[in-house]
Amino acid sequence: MTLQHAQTLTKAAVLELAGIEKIYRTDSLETVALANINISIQQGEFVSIMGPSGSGKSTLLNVLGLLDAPSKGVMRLHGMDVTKLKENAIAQVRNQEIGFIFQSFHLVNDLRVLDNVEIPLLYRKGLSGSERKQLALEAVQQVGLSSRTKHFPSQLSGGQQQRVAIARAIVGKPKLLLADEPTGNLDSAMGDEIMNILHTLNREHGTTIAMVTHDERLAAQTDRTIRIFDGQQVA
Amino acid sequence: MLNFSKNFSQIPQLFKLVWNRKRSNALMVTELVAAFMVLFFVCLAVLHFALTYRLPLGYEYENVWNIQAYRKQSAEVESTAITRQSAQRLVSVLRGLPSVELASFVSTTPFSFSHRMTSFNRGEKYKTEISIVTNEFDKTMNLTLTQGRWFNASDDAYNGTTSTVKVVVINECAAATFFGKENPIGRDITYIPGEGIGKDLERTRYRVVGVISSFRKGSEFDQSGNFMFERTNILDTTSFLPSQILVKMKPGTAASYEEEMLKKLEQTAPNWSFQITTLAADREKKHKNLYFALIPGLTIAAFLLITVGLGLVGVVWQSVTRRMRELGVRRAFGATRQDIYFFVIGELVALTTFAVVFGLFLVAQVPLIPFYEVPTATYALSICAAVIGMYILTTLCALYPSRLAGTVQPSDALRYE
Amino acid sequence: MLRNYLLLAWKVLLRRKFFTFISLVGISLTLATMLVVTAIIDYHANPPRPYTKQARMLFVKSVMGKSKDFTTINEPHYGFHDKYVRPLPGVEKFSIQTESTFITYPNGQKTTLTAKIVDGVFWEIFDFEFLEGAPFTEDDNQQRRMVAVVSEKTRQRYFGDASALGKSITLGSKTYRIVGVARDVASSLSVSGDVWYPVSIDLTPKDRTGVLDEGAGGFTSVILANNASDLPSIQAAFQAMLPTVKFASSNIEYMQAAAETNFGVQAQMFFGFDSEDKDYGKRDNATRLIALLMALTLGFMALPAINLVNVNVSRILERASEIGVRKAFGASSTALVGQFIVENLVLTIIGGAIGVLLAEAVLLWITSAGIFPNAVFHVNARVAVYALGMSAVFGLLSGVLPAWKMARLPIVQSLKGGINA
Repeated sequence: MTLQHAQTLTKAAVLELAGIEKIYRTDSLETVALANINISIQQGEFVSIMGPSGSGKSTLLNVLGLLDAPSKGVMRLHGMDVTKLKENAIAQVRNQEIGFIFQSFHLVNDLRVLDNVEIPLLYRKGLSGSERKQLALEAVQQVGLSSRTKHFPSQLSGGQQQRVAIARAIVGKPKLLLADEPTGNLDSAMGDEIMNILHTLNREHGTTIAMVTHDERLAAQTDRTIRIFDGQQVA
Repeated sequence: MLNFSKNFSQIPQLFKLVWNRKRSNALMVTELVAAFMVLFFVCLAVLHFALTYRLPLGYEYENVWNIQAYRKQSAEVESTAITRQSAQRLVSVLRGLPSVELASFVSTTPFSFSHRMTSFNRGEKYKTEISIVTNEFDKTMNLTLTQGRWFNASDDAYNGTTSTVKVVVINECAAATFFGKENPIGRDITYIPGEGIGKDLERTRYRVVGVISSFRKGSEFDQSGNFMFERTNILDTTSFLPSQILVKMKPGTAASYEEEMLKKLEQTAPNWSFQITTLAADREKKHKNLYFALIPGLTIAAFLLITVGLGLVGVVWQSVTRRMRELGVRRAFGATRQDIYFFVIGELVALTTFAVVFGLFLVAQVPLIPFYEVPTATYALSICAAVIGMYILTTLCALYPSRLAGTVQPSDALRYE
Repeated sequence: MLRNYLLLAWKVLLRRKFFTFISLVGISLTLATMLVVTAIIDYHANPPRPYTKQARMLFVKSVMGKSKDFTTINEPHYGFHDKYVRPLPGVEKFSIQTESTFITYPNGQKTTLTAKIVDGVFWEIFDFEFLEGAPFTEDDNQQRRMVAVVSEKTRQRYFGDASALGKSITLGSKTYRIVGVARDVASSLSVSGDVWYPVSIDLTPKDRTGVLDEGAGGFTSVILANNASDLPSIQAAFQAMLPTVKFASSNIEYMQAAAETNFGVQAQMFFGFDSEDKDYGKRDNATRLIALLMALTLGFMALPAINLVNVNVSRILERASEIGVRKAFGASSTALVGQFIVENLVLTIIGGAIGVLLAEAVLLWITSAGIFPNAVFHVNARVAVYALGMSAVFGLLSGVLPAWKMARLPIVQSLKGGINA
């Protein structure tokens, strides 16, 4: 893998999208979900992505997170073209470079907090069980849930669950954090709590964050807002 | 590209998942434990019979004919002396036949369904099967003597029911049971006095004059248990008269010779009734009897395992479709397709491990049930085979659902709202 | 209402073809196995002709004799049956038999014939079907006439397709005139034989006076009562008679025995004869065997039942969100559980029907393969009722737990599904 090498070449842009298109095809129908998207996200930026329902912003987030391959266009992560990578290599990139936060948390109900947080580390080479545990504990500490490591998700409030999800997203120390309406399922007090954590991560640890949101108020707190409408980039 | 070191990191979490879901997994584990038990008994039966079959039989049954000879129930009362004379005449007539090499009276023939057992009032381990035979039996069956000697005319001194000493030849298994590593020749086996024994038996001493390698009376499928030959002289009216004659035929004697032999026998002793079979035919009958019990049993076991296997496929398949999002999250966080295969199979394997541990506990109780004596090595082997079998079965069952889980894209999985 | 349930059940089963398939395989294989075993047991417990009057029959077979030195389990002498069993109150007809084996060579072919040596009353108790001629009479027996009845198979072996009447058959040193040909009976039934001749011909003075010796005897007897309801009192009289038996010629001190129904005899044979059994003849073997068979059936059904429970639970969880929606729209738990139980019942009944067909096929094969010579097995009405009962038990066993789980499924959770509900 030439990741290390690539990183030193283009320090500034974490992620570059050029001419990205995403078309869903069924037998009779062709739906254009994204058309001609050009985005560049710099190291340490906190970017928000806005758009109405069905505008394609979730598709964009999937493409950004390498969960879905674009139909056309080039995408560079640390200057390396990731659209050409094989499936397992993409999985490895996701594992090491990207962390995900979902609207409805997506925690595994039958696993305790610490075991949930540990999940990304299970798919990383060369980590012993005690190392994994140590990293997971650090991540849980970062989101202020050290006292809840042995709880099951169902024993936690929504805000706490989302903090566990954030811990899981940052446990592998990714360069890029992707958040899909992270406060959408939470009341405003809890939502603010989550936003504070994200801002802290961005400011103090230099984590690059891309966040999909509906909330102009939250978008205003970010460095920059990308707007999507009908699959087109409008701002 | 399969990367196992990475796959294996999931193992502790698989066990945690299975353990944390123990309430909903209880029924699955119960089913797997039951399947394990079925598989264990199948392995035990198959291995036991397969391993036993390969042991030496201890005698040769080819060209040996088996004549059942007994006085008809309807025959008029006659003196014991006359009966013994007829018996002796029968043997000499048989020996006079050109196709016959040897003939010997015997109380229990190989492959027969009857037993004559005694335990010397010492308990289960000392139970030994006894056959009462005449001098020629060893050559008729081509037994292998390993210590001492076979019976001869000098043993006449111990004949009859009045003699308190009986000479016997035992197999190596019985020698080990009664005398351990000591030399059994010239030693006596006696009854331990106690309830249910007459005074006569209490006094009787069984003096060992020889040891033969083995004598697996039942068939190739029976174990080598304790066996003892007691000598009888049919001319002595006070000694036992066995009801069967084994005849060693010259090789190549046609089966149709039976009719001629039967006529000769009926002429010699008109008050007697005869049935002639070959030991080879008796052996076949004995084997058929075993297959008759074994084949339906194994078929039913196979049915049960097929049913369980199909059920497992269904349950795992369903659990995969139900948990697409969990799998999707794992994919998003960098799990490869192989990791997912491993995860789905691994979960059932972890469940199986719990079942196997519980099953082993149950199986450990089985040797305590003395329903059938099986060597410890066969037990151990059957347990290993059943454990391996369970893992193979469950892995096969999870294989298709795991492929199904692997084909799902991480983004698809997240769309499962 | 029920019609809707059934229609919906049918649709659901068709929609989930794989689950329906696994469930059906499990149910039908399990039921078929049990039906085959049941049909074979039923055939021997309720045998066809000549056991027409079996409900009124009792059998006296092996007895246990105890002396100081040994225990013998054997069929007693003619004298025991004649002197002690025949006079028991309530006995309408009584027959004593023994058997012997002869090797003969008709047309140069070695043949082993099982001879049943019986009296004339035997033919009145057992309702044999005669293809030719008639049975010999009690008078023939008393007069020691050299007559014999042969089976259909024996006639075939000796005379081909020709009539056997008036022809002779030689067994050992004696020759008999054939007076009748009886239809073959399954050889696993104790009454079956290849040839029958009068018992008086062979009786020795020792047989007539003897009771029980070590290693001798070999006679059995059949009691026919007026009414099936008389059997218990005859059995009681039999037990009361035992202590009065005198063992003139042997050192046997007392005996244990029983007059048992056909099924009781079969049960005793199943459990085997153990000379150390202190309760020999005093146990109700028939009930014991039935209890054992029930336990085995349940044990055997347990695994497929648990399997079906697991599949059913899976089916329900798969439909968790559908169930949640129905509940949210006001469907009561009872209605949902009712729907599920109807579904499971439809499944079990279809599985049961396939099981019956499978069992019938296997029984046809067993019949034609001659595993039980001359026996013809079918899933008869009695076995079918049993099948229905077993299907119901199976359906209940496998349906109750999943239904309970389903009723308790909370609406919100079922709607959300949860990441791994």
